[in-house]
Amino acid sequence: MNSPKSLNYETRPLKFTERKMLLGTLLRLCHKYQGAYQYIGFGGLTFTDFKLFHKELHINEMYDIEGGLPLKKVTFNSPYSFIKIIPEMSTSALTKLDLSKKTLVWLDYDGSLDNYMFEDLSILMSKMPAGSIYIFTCNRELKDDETRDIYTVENFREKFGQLAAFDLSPTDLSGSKDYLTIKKMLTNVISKMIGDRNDNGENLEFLQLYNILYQENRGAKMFTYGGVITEKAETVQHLNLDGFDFIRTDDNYYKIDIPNLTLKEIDLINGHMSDASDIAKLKAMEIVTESEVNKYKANYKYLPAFFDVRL
Amino acid sequence: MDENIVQGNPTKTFFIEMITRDISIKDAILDLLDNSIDGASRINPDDYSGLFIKITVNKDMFSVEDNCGGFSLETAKKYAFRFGRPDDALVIKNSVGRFGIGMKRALFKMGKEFEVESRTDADHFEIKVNVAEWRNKKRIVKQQDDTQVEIEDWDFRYENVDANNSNLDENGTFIKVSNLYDEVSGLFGTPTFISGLRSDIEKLLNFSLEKKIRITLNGESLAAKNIQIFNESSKPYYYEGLKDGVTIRVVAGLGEVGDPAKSGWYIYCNDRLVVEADRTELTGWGTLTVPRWHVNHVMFRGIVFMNSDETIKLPLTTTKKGIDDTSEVYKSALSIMREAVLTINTFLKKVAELGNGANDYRKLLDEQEEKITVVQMKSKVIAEVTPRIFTAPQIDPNLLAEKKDTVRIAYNVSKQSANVARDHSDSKNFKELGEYTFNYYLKMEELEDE
Repeated sequence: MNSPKSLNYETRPLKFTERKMLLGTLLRLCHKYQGAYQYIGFGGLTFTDFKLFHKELHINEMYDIEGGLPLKKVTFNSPYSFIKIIPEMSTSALTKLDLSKKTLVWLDYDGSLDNYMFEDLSILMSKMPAGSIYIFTCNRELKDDETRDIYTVENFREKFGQLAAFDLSPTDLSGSKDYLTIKKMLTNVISKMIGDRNDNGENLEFLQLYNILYQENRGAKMFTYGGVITEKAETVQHLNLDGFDFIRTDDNYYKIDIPNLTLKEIDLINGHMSDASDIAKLKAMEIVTESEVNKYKANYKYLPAFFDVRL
Repeated sequence: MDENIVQGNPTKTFFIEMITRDISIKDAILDLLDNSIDGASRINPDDYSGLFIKITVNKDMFSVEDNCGGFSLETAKKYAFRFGRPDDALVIKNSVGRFGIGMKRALFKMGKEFEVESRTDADHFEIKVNVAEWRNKKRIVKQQDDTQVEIEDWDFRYENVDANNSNLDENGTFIKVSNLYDEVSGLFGTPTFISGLRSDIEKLLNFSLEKKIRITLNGESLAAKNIQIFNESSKPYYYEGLKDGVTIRVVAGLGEVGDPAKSGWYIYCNDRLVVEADRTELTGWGTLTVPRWHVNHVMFRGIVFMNSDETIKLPLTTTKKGIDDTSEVYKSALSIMREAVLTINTFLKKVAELGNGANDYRKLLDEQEEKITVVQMKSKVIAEVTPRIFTAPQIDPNLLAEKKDTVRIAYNVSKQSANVARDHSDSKNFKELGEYTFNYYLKMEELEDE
């Protein structure tokens, strides 16, 4: 995991926006499923999500999986002494954790899709109890590590074996459908694992909540999928999540796309958000475009504001 | 005498034909052996040391002798030689064989004469049967109106045995069938039948062999598989659950590397080894998120014990020789087996990263680790372990350090330009030239600190 070295996660605006979006829903979920959660994630060097979830969700039991960076450096950068750092690759680390506890896990992989990600998923899904939340992020481009080109159907099949759909076509591996292919593979594993558990006497379901795409300025194309393990027949409404526009329970994605606006322009839009006529006035001023307004409206609650300060 | 009676009794001939029709000779023999094992289990369910079963099979006769306790005269009267099984029959827990139809069926299947001798502390008796005579035996009974009628006589006669004419030196059972049917005799004279029988017995009675019973077939000792899992710095994965009346116990971990064919899953159903060292999709390899079996998995050992008081509930195929992978019970076990492989695989991958050192490390572990046998795995008290956790042995990080962070780059260029570049860069050889040019690129592109 080398990306934390090259870029401070905290200054990536789309990542930031996504994190804030997730937080909004996680607050509701943690409220609904009361009781202590443990958090499992990849803290990198900045531990941004650890800091956020500790302060906002009051999670005090946290596990940082870090298989790449030097342990001393990671330990030095860990913001809180209670964060337990597991210096191993994710699959190996996950087998050592007590997953029978209620868990919030965000496996924010910085690489492209690989088999171990599904191994991680099945280890989690075979044990995590109801109320547990699984979030998966990876680079959605289905590129072969060796050739750096998009996989051929044969190579993809060779690499992913039975996880690959039997009717896979080249389009499924292209940029227009790659996230759907990944999503399908994830949901197949989840439903199989949950189905097995139900056969063994449990009564669970996985409710999808996130199906998010974004691309940092000239950066990697990312895909976030996730949801919550519930007792059977839970609904988004009942979980009090239907007010969030970005919640997705099907194949439709939510794309985080933030407009490039100045602070003065933002103030201007903020002052014209009440109704259609307000927006018409705004358009007439020819300062911001309709598309910018729409993008802003979809994301403004979660947008970061960066300032340069002297420390 | 009432002339209008229609005899409702099945004839003995018909009966013999019925019970022997749907069983193979091999299964008939295995049924008999199951009775010996049930006896052994009554003596000491955990350890069969000192007990033996001697099997002799040739074109003239079949015999099996054991010192597994024998059966009482009462058992003979009530169950072993009675046709049909009374409702008050003892249910022998976890037994595969029973003194029901099994023993008689096996005997009638093979030959025209048989004898069964049993010795216990209380009794020592023998039953000798000439099938042709028995078949024709009739007896006269008096009816209510004092008229006499001749009916088929189904009874067997026993005789007490004294030490002088005994086949048994200890408490046990001796069974011999002679005057074999032609097709049976032909089969018993075939070497391939004997070797097939041997491997069948080794599989089906494996658990008893692991419990140290000594079984010989025509004087040759049958072998246990000696399936063992490391149990010291490495602790196996344990799971136990109940599904549809079947107890499922899964134990998995690491084993020795000597023979790759020993790697994989072993499945026992009521102590019969049904699947051995399986590395196929049947046991989950290459399905869902589990990788296909690869030589890197050579240390993997997994054992599944499925037990039920009612054999019918076990996920066996109708021949009882294979696993019915469509059964819900087996699917339930399979989900756990997958988890076990994934859990252990993270460690196996690390071992593989040792590269050339991997095999030395595997052998070193083998030398250092205590082992646990399948018998111990089965009797392990589950409450004493943390379920569904595999404890991996520590790998010395120094061993791991070297390999991981390098890649090899290879390409072909023209000999002439390579020579020019080598001389120009003062490289001693092409390997050095390769390193030189790569470093040169990093330096020129200012990539050295990335």
